[in-house]
Amino acid sequence: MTAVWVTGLGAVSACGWGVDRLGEQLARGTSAIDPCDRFDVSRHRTSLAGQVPARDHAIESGASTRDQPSWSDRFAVAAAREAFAQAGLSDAAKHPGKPFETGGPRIGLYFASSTGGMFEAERFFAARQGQLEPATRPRLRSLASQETSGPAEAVARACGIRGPVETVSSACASGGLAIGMALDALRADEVDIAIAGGADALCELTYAGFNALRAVDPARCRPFRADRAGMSLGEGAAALVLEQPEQARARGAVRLASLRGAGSSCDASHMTAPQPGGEGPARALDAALADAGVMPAEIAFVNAHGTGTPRNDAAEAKALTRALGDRAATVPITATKAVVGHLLGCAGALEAVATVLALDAGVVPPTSGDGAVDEALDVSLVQGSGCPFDGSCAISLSLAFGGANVALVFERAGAGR
Amino acid sequence: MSRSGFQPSSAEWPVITGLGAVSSFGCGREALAAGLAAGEPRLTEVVRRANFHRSRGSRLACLADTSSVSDWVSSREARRASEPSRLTLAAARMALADASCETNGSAVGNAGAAGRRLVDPRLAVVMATTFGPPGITEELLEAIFSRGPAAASPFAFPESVANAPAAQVAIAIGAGGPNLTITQRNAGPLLALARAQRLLRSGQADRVLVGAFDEANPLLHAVLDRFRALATARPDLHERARPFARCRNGFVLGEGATVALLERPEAALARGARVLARLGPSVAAFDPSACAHTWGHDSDALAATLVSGLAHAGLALAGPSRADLDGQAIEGVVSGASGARQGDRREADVLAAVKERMGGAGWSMLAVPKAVVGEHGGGFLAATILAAAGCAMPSADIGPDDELGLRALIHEAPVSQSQAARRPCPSKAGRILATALAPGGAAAWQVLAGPS
Repeated sequence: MTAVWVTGLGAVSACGWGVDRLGEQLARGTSAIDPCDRFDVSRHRTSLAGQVPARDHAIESGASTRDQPSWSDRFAVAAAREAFAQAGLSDAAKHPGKPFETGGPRIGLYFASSTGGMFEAERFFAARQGQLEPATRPRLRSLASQETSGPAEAVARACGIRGPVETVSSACASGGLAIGMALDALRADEVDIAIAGGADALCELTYAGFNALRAVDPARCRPFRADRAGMSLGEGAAALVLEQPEQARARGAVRLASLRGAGSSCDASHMTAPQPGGEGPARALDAALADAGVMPAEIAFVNAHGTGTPRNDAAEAKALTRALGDRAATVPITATKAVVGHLLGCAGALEAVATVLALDAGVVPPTSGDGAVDEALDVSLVQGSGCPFDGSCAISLSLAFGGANVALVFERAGAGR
Repeated sequence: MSRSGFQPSSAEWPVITGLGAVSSFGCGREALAAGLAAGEPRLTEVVRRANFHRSRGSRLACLADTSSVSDWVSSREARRASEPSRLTLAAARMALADASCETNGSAVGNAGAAGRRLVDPRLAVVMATTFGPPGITEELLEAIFSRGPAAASPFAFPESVANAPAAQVAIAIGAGGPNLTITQRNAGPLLALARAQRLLRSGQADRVLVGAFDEANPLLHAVLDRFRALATARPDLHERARPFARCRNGFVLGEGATVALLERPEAALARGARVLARLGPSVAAFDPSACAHTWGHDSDALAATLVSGLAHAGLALAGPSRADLDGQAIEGVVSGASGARQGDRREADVLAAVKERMGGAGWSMLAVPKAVVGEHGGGFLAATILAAAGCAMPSADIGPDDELGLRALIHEAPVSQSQAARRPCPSKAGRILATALAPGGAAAWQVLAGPS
């Protein structure tokens, strides 16, 4: 099937503002999950989160202030502008807010968010409950950015996009699904260039909700470890510029990697618990491999969903065995969430960025954290330091509340297909 | 089938073989179709418990009549689901029953049928929503902020995510294919139709349950009232939505759920299914001049993008006079105009810009279903399908004081109407163009056609 090029990356995460900071910290394998001070976390099971550090105004400029952008909007705009700049699409990178010329490349935006501007909506709600001082009460207009479509619209406005803009909100699979939607649009020749990604910010609703589900680890999350006890929440944004190869070649763009295929499925079994046997994610993996025309033996590594919850990691390991067969036990596995936390609707997008970075570096980053790997899972987890790999393709896998699953297959730029 | 795209001929357009709806007119597409044809909204007083409404603000909404939902959703299922999930699941079962369809050998339509269903990996679910499930989200926030985070219910939290209704449908029906929830405000329902079409075209699914849901909870109603987005009563006019009318002063919030079953024409033909409507090309665009809470002003550029996109997708737009288009002409428009002052003006501007680009005598129908179903994505989605199927629709209110220039767009301009009486558009079952222009900048168009 037709592959598309990845020509630009952008990221905002607990590692900092920018792809470089993400890449450096992933390579070191040190966790950016630290005490959260965005709101009062003292009454929760954990006080940790992958919180984005203080903003860098130089990077953030370009987000419209008239719209009272949410944290998610700001993360999204910064990541998108970084991706556009790397892709050499100067209209968006150098002239924020200026629309691309009609008749120029057809640019579409496919974005993900699980909670949009929920944090800002919560401030409004708290104010109504009399829990905020008058000086800190948000204005009504801040609620206009509350919707999950807010980050996509903020990016489209900031970057002057005139083509399709579509937000997907399918919980933790959203980011991967958005990238799959962009792939579909490019293959169907609906757009010449697609920017895909996602954004989510920490908020009390999700923090309390996952605490109530007892799905969070009081300590930093430890995906695939024997003593894993849950996830750590995170926040941020990620963006990838994807292009039809002819379009990219014609304008002299540099290929960072190729997106070869995508596949998605639904467990159709339970709202919060994965199928123990991993049947649902295995179908997504099968579909992605078939779509990419790639055999399991060609998979160099897997960037797993790896939340660190006992049941998710077990089901995911089973799914990999179902889909990859014998290769599952030996293929190197890494889990980005150990470094940045679980970015919910943005997770799949940020992990796609991390996957492309690893393909480009030729090294699978280690999965942060100590402790023995759970032997029952039969996975080859990369720990301690990065692991060079053979092969050209990698999988990024996402699972979600409600059973949605998505797998993406990326290929190294120099693979010569 | 490869996942690469192609532009199918109209004979290959995917078909809608079942439609389920829960609206202010109750359960079922027949009830909704009758309500649309009658042209009068069924309005209900909103509980003002949120204590946040303006004193002279909006009082009414098109609240869903859920009295028959229990025929479709068992009490056991209902206990585990939020209101949007219940309504969406009911609509999904109605759609499957309407399509005389079975999933994995299990008869559908019976609430809570015993036994675990097999999972059909080729059945996908695509839903759209504007605000997700606001009621249960408010409940959770109320608990967190008044009683502390430990009061957050682990059962309510999973239902607060936007994709909960799509997931509940998948679980109940056994839909193991792709499962997506699109949240692009008012453009979402048409984007969901287009997304469902792509899943079929690219071979990712054989059948798709596609729909939209919305919930009009009191706090959401109050916040929209504070934004002055909702229609209000005036000394000379009662409270209702008046799309495109000079005296429009906002939309009426609606709620409910709609689900349609979409399949490939050859599959529908093979099982002898009745076809309600066919899905043609679609296009989406964005107006970057918009800001977060309102519409943009760059109507010409938006129209240019939409027209060129649709042409690229294989369909040129024109009025019936453009006979050289070999039957591809659009008969009428089902507009997403809602009665919003600025939104309707932008919609009219875009339609005028389209007509100027394409020439021709205009369209024979300009339907405005949101006058009757309210601002409710599912109601609008159902109306577009019903319009293509030949059902009568509420027409735009084009009086002698036509400030938006709509008269020039319509080939068979309806006789001037009073503001109280809304004449239904005639049933034509021709090709229609459904349009949605959302605050925030997103726009989507979808071409639909009748069964033959």
